[in-house]
Amino acid sequence: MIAVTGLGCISAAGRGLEASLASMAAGVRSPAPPTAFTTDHPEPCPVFEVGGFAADPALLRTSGLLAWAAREALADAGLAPEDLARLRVGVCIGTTVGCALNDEPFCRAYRAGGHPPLEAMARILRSNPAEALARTFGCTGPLQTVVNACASGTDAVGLGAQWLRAGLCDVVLAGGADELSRITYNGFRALKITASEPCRPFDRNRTGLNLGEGAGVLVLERPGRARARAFVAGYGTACDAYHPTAPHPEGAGLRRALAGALEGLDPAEVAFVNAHGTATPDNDKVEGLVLREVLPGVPFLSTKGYTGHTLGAAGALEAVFTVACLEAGRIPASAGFEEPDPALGGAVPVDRPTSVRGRLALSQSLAFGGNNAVVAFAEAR
Amino acid sequence: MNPAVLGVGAVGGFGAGARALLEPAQPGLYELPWGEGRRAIPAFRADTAPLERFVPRRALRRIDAFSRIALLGACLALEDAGMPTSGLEGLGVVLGSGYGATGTTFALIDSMIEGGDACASPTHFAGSLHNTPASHLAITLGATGPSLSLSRFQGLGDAVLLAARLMLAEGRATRVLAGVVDEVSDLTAYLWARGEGGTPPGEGAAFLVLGEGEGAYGSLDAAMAGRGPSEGPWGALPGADAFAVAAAAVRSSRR
Repeated sequence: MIAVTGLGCISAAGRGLEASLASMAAGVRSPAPPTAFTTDHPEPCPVFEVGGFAADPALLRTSGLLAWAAREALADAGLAPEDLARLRVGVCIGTTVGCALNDEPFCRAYRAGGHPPLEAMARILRSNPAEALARTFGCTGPLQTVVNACASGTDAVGLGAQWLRAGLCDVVLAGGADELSRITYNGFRALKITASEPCRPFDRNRTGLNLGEGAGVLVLERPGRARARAFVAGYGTACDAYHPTAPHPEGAGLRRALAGALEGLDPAEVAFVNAHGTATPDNDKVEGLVLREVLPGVPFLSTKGYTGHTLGAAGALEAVFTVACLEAGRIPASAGFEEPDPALGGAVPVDRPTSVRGRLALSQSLAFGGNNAVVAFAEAR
Repeated sequence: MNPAVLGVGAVGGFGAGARALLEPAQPGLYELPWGEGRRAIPAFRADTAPLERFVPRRALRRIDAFSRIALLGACLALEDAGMPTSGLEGLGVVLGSGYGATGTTFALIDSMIEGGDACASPTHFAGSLHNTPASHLAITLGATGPSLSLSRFQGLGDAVLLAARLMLAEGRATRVLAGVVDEVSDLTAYLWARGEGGTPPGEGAAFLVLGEGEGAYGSLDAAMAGRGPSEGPWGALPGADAFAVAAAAVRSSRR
């Protein structure tokens, strides 16, 4: 098995893992109208911003958030810059916004008949998250930027573990990062799946998601060098092959991904599931029904009530939280949930901080494109 | 693991099909808005008309040019491997793109410029995601295995082929469709026109069908070892290294 030796995260839930866990345990969440940009929508939808975060202007904010989380994860793993220089360090990062050539001022200037300078596009090209992080820390192992929409961060963890099993490197920085974007905000509003109130994952009265931003990074390596916080015990991924933006109504791909992640493991040992739980009607219905059938009675939650939907970062952030909660034997309340939804067949997330027992925990993601990914973690005790 | 190359499919400025990769090609023209007028630049363009052989015209109506290029390259590779282009349960897909759907991304921003933020096009937003072509591939082919989309501006083909190799090695799929796609759009044409010039931009897709067995094109290792320079009749595009691997496989064909 592959060891998780370091964790780092930044989101609206907190700067750093300790702050994030404390705010979630206290049930604190801070959705608010966006301040990073303005729109001409008559009513704003709340978002989860990382306030006061200043990133290197030479790169996208996504890369700045990612570097912040990576520094925390590396320190947690006891890896100094000089250590990275003598190791083969791979970088596997998920994103959505971090690869999009969609600089709005550039496009507006060009469409207005101007000849905008190329710097805005060069900045995006310099900011490919895996490449930018490798440059920052001098990593010389394999690089990969995963763009599987909202499952990207989860897939990045699974793929990083594959690299280590194949002997391609000594250490992997696996994670995900995404910044809030005006274009993404307008796009999700156009799809009519954003809520005008704080999101309510799995609640009967849920009306949609709140966007967020952030980054999560896990340091993965073969056991032995450092204290393991947990182990990557399984990874499953499968495509619905059903619809570009809607999940398969029976969760066909999710079921296969869950089966893949649990291969060789005992489902009875699953302590909890950190669900995708976007608070959209379709996602939560499918996910709730599948969890109730495949893992009946296993506690589950969505942490998106604390972070918002951070897109390509979501799977990585949630993997970080999953490992930390498995270590602690305790999960926070699924923020935003109040009333069970009969359409979920009795699937009810935890509505208060809950002690959990079991050797395993799952973090799962569903995504546009029909992507489904699940990572299983095993406790290190 | 050293999988066999069971099929090759490609489309670009050189034409369509595996053998076409070895044909010389001259760039055509791409006209882009330029100030108050228009400007033509040389570009290696892909013709996706042959896609109607594989996908009903009606189904193509909501699929943008970027995804059509990917679909055609993929279908040609499957056909070349003697495989169907539907009902492919468990097929793995690995797809890389450097720039993504820049035409559709521009169209999304255009919809906001023209109508305001509330008029952002949901269709263009969904189509602007990097994994949209992989989604269309999965739906069209019935590919229910792992689906992985990657984005790099350098070493894209190598990253795609590594991911495909590991997918097979870990038994996550027994057949993997691995390829790259990029398009020429107003944006990429402008980047070339305002940039340093050099090799004209290209659009196209190059796919390999990988798996166990006696491949008509030998092994993936052999194809990667035998590849020449990334420059070729496909033009300048981030996945040029994958085109070079596909061309090397065709050169070593036992057919």
